[in-house]
Amino acid sequence: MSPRGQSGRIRMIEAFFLSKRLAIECRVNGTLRVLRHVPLLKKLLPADIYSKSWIKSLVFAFKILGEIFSFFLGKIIYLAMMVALPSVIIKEEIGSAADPGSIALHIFFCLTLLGTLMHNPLFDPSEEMFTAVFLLRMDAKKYSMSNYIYALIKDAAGFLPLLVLCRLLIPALRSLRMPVILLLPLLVVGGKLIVSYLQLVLFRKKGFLFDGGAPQANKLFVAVMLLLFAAAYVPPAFGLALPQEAILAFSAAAVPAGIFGLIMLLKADDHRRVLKYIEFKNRALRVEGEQSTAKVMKESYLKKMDGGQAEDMLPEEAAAGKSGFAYFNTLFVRRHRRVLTRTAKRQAAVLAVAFALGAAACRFIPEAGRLVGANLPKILPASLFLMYILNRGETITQTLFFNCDSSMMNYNFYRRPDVILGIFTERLKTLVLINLLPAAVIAAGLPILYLVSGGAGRGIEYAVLGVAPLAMSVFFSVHYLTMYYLLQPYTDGLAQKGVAYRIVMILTYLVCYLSLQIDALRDNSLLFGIVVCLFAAAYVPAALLLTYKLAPRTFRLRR
Amino acid sequence: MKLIAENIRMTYDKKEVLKGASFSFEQGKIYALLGRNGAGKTTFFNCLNEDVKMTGGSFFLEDEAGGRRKVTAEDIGYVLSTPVVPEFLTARELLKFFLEINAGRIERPLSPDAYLDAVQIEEEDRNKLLRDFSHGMKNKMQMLLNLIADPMLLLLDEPLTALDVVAQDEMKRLLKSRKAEHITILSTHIMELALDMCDEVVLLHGGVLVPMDRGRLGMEEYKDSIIAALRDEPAGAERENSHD
Repeated sequence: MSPRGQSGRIRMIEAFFLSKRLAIECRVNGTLRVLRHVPLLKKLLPADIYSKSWIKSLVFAFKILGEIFSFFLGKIIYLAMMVALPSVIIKEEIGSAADPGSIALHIFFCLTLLGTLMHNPLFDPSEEMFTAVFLLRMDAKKYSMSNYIYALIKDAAGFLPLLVLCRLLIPALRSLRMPVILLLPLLVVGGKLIVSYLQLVLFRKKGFLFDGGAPQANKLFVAVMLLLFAAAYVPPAFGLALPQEAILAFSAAAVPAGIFGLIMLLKADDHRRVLKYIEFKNRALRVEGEQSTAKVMKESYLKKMDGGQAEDMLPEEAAAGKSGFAYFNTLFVRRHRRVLTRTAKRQAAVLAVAFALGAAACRFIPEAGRLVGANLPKILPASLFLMYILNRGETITQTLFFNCDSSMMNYNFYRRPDVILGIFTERLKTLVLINLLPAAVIAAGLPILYLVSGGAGRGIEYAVLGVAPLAMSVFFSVHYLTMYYLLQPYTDGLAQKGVAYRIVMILTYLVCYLSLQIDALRDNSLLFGIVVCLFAAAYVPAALLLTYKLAPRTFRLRR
Repeated sequence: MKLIAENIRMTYDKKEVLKGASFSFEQGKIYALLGRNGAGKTTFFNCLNEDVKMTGGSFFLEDEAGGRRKVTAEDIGYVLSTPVVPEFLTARELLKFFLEINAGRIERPLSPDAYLDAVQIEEEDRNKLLRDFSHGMKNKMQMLLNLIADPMLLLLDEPLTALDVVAQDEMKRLLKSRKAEHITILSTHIMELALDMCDEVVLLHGGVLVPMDRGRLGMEEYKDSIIAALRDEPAGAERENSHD
């Protein structure tokens, strides 16, 4: 069907509904696509699910509910965290002389000004905008203005009931006059409209947007943000808040200003140019983002390669004399050392300093020594979580895949069992050694700290404190690498992970997190440490055995 | 030696891409695999290379005496249209590694430099990281590894499009010179390449493999007959699908 109606072009309201339908369609399809990747659901959901209207309606209904829910919820969280909580702290904890209602009003006002810059969606880049305006050639002005007006109406309609309810239900806000409250939503909307228009004027004059990531404006933009942020919270702490009358006047002025902005925005004819500019800026950012998800090593080669100059790579000294799998692996490690080893080295250094400071504190401050001496052995369950955080396994397997295996797996010789396992063995050594670097510092640091603090523990406590971190580190290294070889979760197109792998990773996280949370573990810390060591001792050979048996079949590209 | 594909079926969700593709590919010939976008050429290659699990059917190698054996990964060289090479290695390093782990499997191995000479990768480029190689040079490296490994079955997916005209010419000669000992299947959209280089044209059409015998047709008539054969299905069935 032609998008042009009888009058020649579609009207703004039609453009709005078209674009909304498109956006929702995209989101619903996206959800269905994800659902179809879940192993069990895949059987239940047919391939032609995208054309089944009742399933779509269902997902659609959920999306709408979600939008309404998140829409109010977002504002409630915003009011609670950004306005109410700071107001209470400023009044009660700091003891500000200002009236609590005025403090809250002052903060809300300043944050609203901040919001006109930070959360002003006229010129926000989005996938839907790109699809509608640039792929489907929808009229840029009609698209962006109709969606913008909708967003502003949502803003006003969301804030109005919430603000009125707050005023009515919270005794501390009684001092605020109702007209002020009623005008605040208009301040939000009017402020955004006039700022959007000013942005457009800036774009016409200078060719960039204030918040559009232009280097000329970046520093100023950040400075203005910080200034408004400070203006919101610092003066009330000293008993200063803008008088209600001033805010009332400002809000009233925002109404004509907003109308003026709206008229000018509707008159403007350069929306498409601005969107193009944003899209261009955003694409560059998005590419960067995608690459960082996989921490693709673009910047992880040797420094001298970073200039992009095609300098000669002389064979690395470290690889000299090596051959076969070890040669291959050594070159990989050397040329990705920023991603692979640098973080581990830094972790080790920071930990060493921390332990040294801790030991010094225990030695010279008796109180600290007593505290550490009494509690140190209880730290073992928490150290499991720490070892989980420190472990570089997942990043390293990602690097292995994207920078090496995704290309090498296309060669059939690389899929020979002896090659897969030969390289696996080399990698295992590498991964275990990298992760042992910070682990060794912890394994040495804990007993030393315990000793310095005058811990009267038995020999076994010292032993467990020293051995358990090493066992955990080896466990995580083996765990990540074997899971990579057994479940190979990545596809060529970056970032997408196999469901089984994701489940294993979530479980891993949960176990580590729970070890931090369960009090009973802290009380039986010594036992916990011993169990962890035994578990690692059982898991490591089992996982390796499984890998050597199964990896030749499981370690392949997902097509 | 023959590669015999029997009744290969491949279904994605409910869409049947391969509906019982059967053919006997003989040693000594280069086959052109022609088909429309989305016909399943890459899927067919992926099945042979065991990158995807077939829904049904089988394939095997059969020697002159009629003895059959399973196709192993080492029997196959698969050259993708977009070359993939490990970017962190130099050309020399990749070859050194390759030769070392294939020691004993390669007949009369040469030094890395001898191979690089053969595909005319300049001395000055040999110590560059492969990520700094051009598309065509990466393609050469990919082809080189597959040629050294010398698999019985060589699958080539649009192999020459990235190469300059001189390199194309060399590659054609090279493939022709080694065809006597191998089975070569080349998937392409370029009719001229298919007719100029290949001994037989096989269409992948409607999910099955159909030989296109030239018979006594003149070149233009032959081309027309191929296009006519590819046209006969309603256009709706030929949509590009994401698996191709």
